[in-house]
Amino acid sequence: MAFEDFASFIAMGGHGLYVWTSYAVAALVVIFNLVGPWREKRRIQASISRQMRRETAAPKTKPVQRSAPMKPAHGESV
Amino acid sequence: MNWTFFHKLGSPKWFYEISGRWLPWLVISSAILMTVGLVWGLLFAPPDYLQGNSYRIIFIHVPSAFLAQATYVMMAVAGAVALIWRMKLADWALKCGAPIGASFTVMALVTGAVWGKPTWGTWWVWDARLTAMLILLFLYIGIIALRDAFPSQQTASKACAILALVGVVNIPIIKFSVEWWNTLHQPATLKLTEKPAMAPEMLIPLLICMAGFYLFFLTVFFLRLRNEILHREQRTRWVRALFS
Repeated sequence: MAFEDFASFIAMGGHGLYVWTSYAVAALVVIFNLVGPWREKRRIQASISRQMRRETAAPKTKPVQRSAPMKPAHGESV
Repeated sequence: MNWTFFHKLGSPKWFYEISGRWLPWLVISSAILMTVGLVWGLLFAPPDYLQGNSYRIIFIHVPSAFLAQATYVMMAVAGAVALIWRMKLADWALKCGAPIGASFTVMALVTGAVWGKPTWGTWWVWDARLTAMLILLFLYIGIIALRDAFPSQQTASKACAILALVGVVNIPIIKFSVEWWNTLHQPATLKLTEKPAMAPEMLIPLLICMAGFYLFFLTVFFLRLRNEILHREQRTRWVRALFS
């Protein structure tokens, strides 16, 4: 161990602020790189599942002539 | 030489399956190496006789600076492959590398600035090494922005590949900047041809950190590339099969 106690570890010989700022930035970059793709994955998975549900609910039909303006399907946001 | 792997790489489905098998191992090994390397570097490596404890920033600064450049080279190679063989996976790899590389460039610049303050007495100088790294960041931002600048996806891909290839000229400039010009930045810590000037008690944790960060890059790169594959191939039967 290069340090006598916890306080001197935090102090880093007077350079604590610099060392810990750097490590905080590194932690942020690591978190950014993990959380970004993780959220993107959830978004894509939800989008594909929604698309597949929509297709099974309404099997392939030819677009019909609409006389009235189309209403959004049940439970779907516009 | 057997080229089947290269043809297989053209298949997003094949890559999705193989990367899925690799991912758990990448996650575990990068987590272990980064933890061991950083704990060793922060707690057990001796202080530097000149810089005291501020040098401990090296354990994140050097890996991030290496990765910032390695990611760019990877993107340039992917750009060449995308242009020559029109391999769509290469184009997606180029796209997915950009935000990761940009984040590592920011990390290298910020940790460098924070390290510069107690060591050089200044956060920033327009030194050759630092300026070239800033240009690298602008290249990354340019590649990210360029993708959305074209209405046609194919034109965007081509433009990004060309920019990645042109910008690769900056990489040797970064590498040799500390030798070509009289810079404030210290010369390379690690050289392949010479015995390292660094004491092994500091060098070994640094090498472990670098290995850990490289594996971390592969992990998050695979995560992004797999997302891109799912998104682009969502109409194919094999992606549908994953969700049914």
